[in-house]
Amino acid sequence: MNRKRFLTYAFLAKYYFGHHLGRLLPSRRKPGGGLDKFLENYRADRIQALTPEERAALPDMQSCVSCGLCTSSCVLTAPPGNLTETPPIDPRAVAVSYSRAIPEFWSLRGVVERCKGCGLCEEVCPTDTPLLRMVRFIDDKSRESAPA
Amino acid sequence: MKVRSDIVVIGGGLAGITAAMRAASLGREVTVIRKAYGATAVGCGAFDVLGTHGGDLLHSAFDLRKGAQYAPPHDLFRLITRRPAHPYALFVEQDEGSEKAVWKSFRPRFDVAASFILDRLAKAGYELEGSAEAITPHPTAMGTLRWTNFAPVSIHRGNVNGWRKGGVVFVGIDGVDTFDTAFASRSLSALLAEQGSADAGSFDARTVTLPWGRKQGGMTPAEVARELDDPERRESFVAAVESELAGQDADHLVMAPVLGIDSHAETLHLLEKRTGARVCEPIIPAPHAIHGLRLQKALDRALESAGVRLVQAHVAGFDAAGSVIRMLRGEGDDGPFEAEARRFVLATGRFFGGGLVSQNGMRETVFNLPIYHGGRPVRERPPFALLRERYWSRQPAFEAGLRAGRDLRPVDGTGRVAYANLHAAGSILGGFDLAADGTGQGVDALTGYEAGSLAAKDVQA
Repeated sequence: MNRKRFLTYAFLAKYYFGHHLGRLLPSRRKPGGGLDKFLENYRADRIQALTPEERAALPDMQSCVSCGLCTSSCVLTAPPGNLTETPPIDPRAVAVSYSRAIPEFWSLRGVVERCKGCGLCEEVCPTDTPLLRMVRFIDDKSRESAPA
Repeated sequence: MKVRSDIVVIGGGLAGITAAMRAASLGREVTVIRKAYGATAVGCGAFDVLGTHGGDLLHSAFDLRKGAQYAPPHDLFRLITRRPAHPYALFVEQDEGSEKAVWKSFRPRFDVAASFILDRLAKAGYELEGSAEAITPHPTAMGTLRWTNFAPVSIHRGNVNGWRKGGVVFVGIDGVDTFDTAFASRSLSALLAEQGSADAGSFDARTVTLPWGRKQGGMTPAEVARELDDPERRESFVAAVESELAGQDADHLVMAPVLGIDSHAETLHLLEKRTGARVCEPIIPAPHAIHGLRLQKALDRALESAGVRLVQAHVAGFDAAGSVIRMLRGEGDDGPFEAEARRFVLATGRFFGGGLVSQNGMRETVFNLPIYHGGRPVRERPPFALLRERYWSRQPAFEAGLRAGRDLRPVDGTGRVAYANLHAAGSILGGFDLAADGTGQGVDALTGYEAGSLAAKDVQA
């Protein structure tokens, strides 16, 4: 083993054991230290933590193929008057929103706030997209993430 | 909830509803179980029986100059020669050997099935025109031509072979971006000129603004169509079209496909009366087609008047005694449900309808039946054997499905009938490619009708 390689392994070993031994000691976290600095860096991006249950539910929410059948059955898009509502209501916009980052969910607030939860959209959905669950999820997450 | 009937049909698209209505017409008590809408509800409106030359992707290769080059006996013969597992092959006498004899054995059986379902659709307010003997060209929203055998009236009126010389105006709606009229009009006029149909006349494009305002960020055809079901809105819309076309030489109007969901025929006739032009809607592709939704709603109405019970539920399992299915179990809107019957029809469609799923290989979702391609279960072959690298070549993955004999009973992995009281209908049956063959709705009607007849006969026996 040459000298360079030896030093490299020694360096890695020092941090490997140092890190794990350090974790056994009581927390020495200083306010304004590493984690806080880390979170502070991302605060502007409004990124928030998901619970394990929320994370487990994400794949179900990704089944929308944007066929539009929900839009044509939604009571909120039913005439008269729906076309001129602001912002426009469209369950499909909710269903395809998995492709957006959670910090962008606030743009759907106008839609999810008016959802009556009748479930007609889910009834016609060919791909079993859990639209009502998505509405609740978006409602939840967008409350926290809306820009000031 | 517990349901007991003679026959349970799983799947509520074109094939399943045809099967259910056929069995009901023979006096059986029938229940349809459906989890949601499927592929039928997003269809483009074409009703294909033999859409292409024996399974070649040739929709666009049909040429006005040479007529449609459509010869049903030849095309059917070529189709079942090239695709021996095509469901149509179960409905012909192949021993005869000649093209004419094959067609002669197929035609009467198809006509009975097609006229059964078309008649009931017409009574439910959804009229289709056309014939298995002919194929007609209809404008699409892109200004190309889509050839098909049957089409709903609003599309069939656009059959360009029947256009008389004069002005053709494409009329769009401000805010409905799926129909770019300027592009479509330019495209179709160039296409017709290239194919030697110079007497099509002049082409123009207009855009109508909805008198009651438009939605921010665009609308789907279905959204506007729901508005036009309202008589007052219809009236003001037609007036807006009329004033937009004032002074325009318009013999043919290709209207944005938004004329209504439940009462589009009224809008169409009112437009024709006011403008004096022949009005049609273009074929538009999924996912925002409205023709499929109209068809689905008409099927549902027809099912209701046939006295068939429709249950909205997911089938999650079943009980069988030996090779006889006793009962389906599942989850419905009002909690768990059980459905007992003496005969079952599986018409769950393929990937979009939910009959097949692709998870570590293909799987049939209700009875876990083996999926076949080329006479063998696909499980026995490596996954790459189901895909070909050339986009336009035949893709086994899209031809795979259940395998069944003339009694439409799906077989198990060893080639024997899987369940004595189970029939399959529609696109869950393999052997054909929905997109490439141009036979999708023909298969649904024919196998649906046959499965309904067989199940009803079995119950009697």
